[in-house]
Amino acid sequence: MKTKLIAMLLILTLLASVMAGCGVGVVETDDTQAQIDTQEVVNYENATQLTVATWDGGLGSQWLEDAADRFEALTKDVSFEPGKTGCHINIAASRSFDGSTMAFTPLTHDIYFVEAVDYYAMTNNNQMACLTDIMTEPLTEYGDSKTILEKIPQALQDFLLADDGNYYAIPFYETFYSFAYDLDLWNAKSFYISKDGGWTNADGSLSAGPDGVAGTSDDGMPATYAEFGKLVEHIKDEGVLPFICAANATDYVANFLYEYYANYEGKDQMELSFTFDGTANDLISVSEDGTITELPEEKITWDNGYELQTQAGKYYALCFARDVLAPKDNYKISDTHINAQKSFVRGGIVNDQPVAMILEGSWWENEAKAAFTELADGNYERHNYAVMPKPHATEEKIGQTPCWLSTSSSYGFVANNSTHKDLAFAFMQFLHTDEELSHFTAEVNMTRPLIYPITEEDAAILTTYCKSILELKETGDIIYPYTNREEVLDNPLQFQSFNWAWSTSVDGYAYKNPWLYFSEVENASAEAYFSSQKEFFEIRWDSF
Amino acid sequence: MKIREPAGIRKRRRDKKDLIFYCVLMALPLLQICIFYFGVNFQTILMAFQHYDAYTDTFTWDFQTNLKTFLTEASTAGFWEMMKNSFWIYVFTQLAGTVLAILFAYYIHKRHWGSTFFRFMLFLPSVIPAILLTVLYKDTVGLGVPAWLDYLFGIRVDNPFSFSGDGLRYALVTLFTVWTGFAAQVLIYSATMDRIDSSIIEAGKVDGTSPWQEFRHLILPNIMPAVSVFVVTGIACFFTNDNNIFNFLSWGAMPQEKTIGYYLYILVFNGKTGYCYSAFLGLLCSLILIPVVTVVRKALNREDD
Repeated sequence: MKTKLIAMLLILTLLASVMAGCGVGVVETDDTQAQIDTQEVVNYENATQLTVATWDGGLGSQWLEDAADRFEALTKDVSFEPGKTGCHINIAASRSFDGSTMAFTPLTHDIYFVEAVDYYAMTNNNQMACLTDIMTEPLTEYGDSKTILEKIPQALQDFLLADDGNYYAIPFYETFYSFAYDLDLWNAKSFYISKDGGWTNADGSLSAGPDGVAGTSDDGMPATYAEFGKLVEHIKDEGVLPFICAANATDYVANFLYEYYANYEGKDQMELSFTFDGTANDLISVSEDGTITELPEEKITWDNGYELQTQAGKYYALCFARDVLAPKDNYKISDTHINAQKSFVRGGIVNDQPVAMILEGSWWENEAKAAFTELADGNYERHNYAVMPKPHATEEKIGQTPCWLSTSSSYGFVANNSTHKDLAFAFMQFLHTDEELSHFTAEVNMTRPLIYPITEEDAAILTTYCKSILELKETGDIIYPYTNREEVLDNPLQFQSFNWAWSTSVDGYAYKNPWLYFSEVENASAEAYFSSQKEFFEIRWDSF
Repeated sequence: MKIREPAGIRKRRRDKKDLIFYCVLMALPLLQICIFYFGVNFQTILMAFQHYDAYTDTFTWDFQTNLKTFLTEASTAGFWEMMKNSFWIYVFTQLAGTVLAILFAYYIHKRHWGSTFFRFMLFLPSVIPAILLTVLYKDTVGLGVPAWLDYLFGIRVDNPFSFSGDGLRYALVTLFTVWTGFAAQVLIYSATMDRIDSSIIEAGKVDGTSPWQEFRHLILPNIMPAVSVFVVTGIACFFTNDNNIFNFLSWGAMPQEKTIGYYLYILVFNGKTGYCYSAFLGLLCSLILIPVVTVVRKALNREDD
């Protein structure tokens, strides 16, 4: 009897492990948590069901839920399959929907809005449904005369166009890494730079700022790195912490520096890093003592692409990291980005030290919703932030059009194995009407890398911070750091994100994040970091 | 009328039942070893001779790219720093750790003061999930200790995990690795010591052995087989010990803190792009370690004999 019992238990264990290991079970491990997190599914018997999965990060899922409600109301009399009328859209929001692993796992929902997507791996694996038809058809059915494709900037269109001439995904959100600053604190502490070079509040006589034009929104902001350094000293003198960032998100700082590098280079020079076709006209070499020598113009092709590692903007951004970002008394590093946001939002209240800036992606304000709610419970209201305009490396650059990198590898797409493709396509079209895109921005206070106006109704409820994002898009040059060069896509460890901007090997030690290098390495040298970058790529170039 | 079954048939039936039971018993471990040992290792060896094309999501035969990458890396100081760190981690966790574990196990075996408590404390890392223990340790040492120092003595110190420059972070992480690796050894050694025939110890006492002589001549020789196992497996893990760096620092480890184990982990963590080179590096590490492990095992076996 005992033997039989043991044998039965062993058989059960064997079957359970085989089912779990070989995927015979019904439940996909990828979605287990998501199913737990999924909102209660209302079973509308006579409506077609659709599931939309989204990464539950800084953006949350409220925007999608609201849009789904509007779409359901709009299509309540439409039949998407025989015998059924209307639709019900279930939103599955979870952090298990990680785009970086989706290329290797089966998709179990109809639509995805996720980040860190490997677009080409997923299209090659036939996981995404072809969206060409719905992207090239005017959205007249939903009251919009434009097509989705017309709303996508050309650089992104080029990237999304697969070898077979089709499009398989639509860019989701975009972020700009920057300092966000507290306008109220700036005013109260007189952190604005006055015309005479002193300090004043918002009502004072302000300096012209980085754009060099008086009467614009960047007035009183530091125009150069040197001015920024002075501002940081002034902030400290006033007993305020200059900036806060997070230990679990040190890559934000590397991305931030990438933005400063791009701002120096300007759109044309920066895009060489993605086209590898054109003339580089600001290459430099730097000696150990920091003497800069301008190099002659160079025609850039793929064969000598590593020459771009000597672009001047890199060196200046490295100097900024060394002089402003790295000194220990200039910042506090919180353990997580959530806690950093909380410290920033709560700064100056009761015993919390006031914090002048937070170094973050532009999603931070939406991600910090809980911190704002907590404040509101204590009768504090705070929503007066703005993106800090980027100072220029040198005085000669003042007035140059600011340049921003629209970074994100997030996409919206329809799963190729969806059984409700017609409905999924219809919902995707609905989500990309101007009106819905505007609602998205109003809900999450972020933008999508698409061209769309904000309605008056939505503009009225935008936060100051979101308005400053819209302004930077309007007044600046936006670079979409994407390329479909096979060599680049094949080597993400060297080219993806800020790897291309900051990979180096100083004295034989590999680094990818200048901030970590300057804050942790004794006698760290911007000159050594910069000078090693070209060699780092040159010796590897043939293997790309 | 009941016919009695012949003994031969009864035996055959019993044999058949035994065979089924044996098959069921062995199926799971065999399946596991086929997939997770032979399957994985076979695929890894193949990958060492391949290159991953991220654009087309395909693996192609290409040994040269991996070799070239290795030669480029092996010529950098950073690579040898990782080797050096792997060596020191081995020294700390295996050699120093083993000596301390034996002494501590002896203390527990002798039922000295607090031995039950120490045994419980040492067992904790084995029952608490590694990542939870890491967070507890990191917050206690990184946040708690500075807060208490400030509260009690007005001494303000930074979180030691936020900065690597002074080497304290590396030391604290290594200390954690030693502590968590310590537990298994102490438990095995103390259990082995408990199983030593008491008559041997009694005989020693009759002969007037001191505690040190008892340890040196009676205890140590009896636990040597267990020690050998730890020493051999320790060498085999020389290149795979990541010193828990990823749990503490994620991607933020500085070159001076990395081990080969951490590097391999990061390579694989990067996705398919890192698979082939990490497989190549893993194969190379195996080629170095196989003869070393063989020699050490033979030497220890001879010592046991």
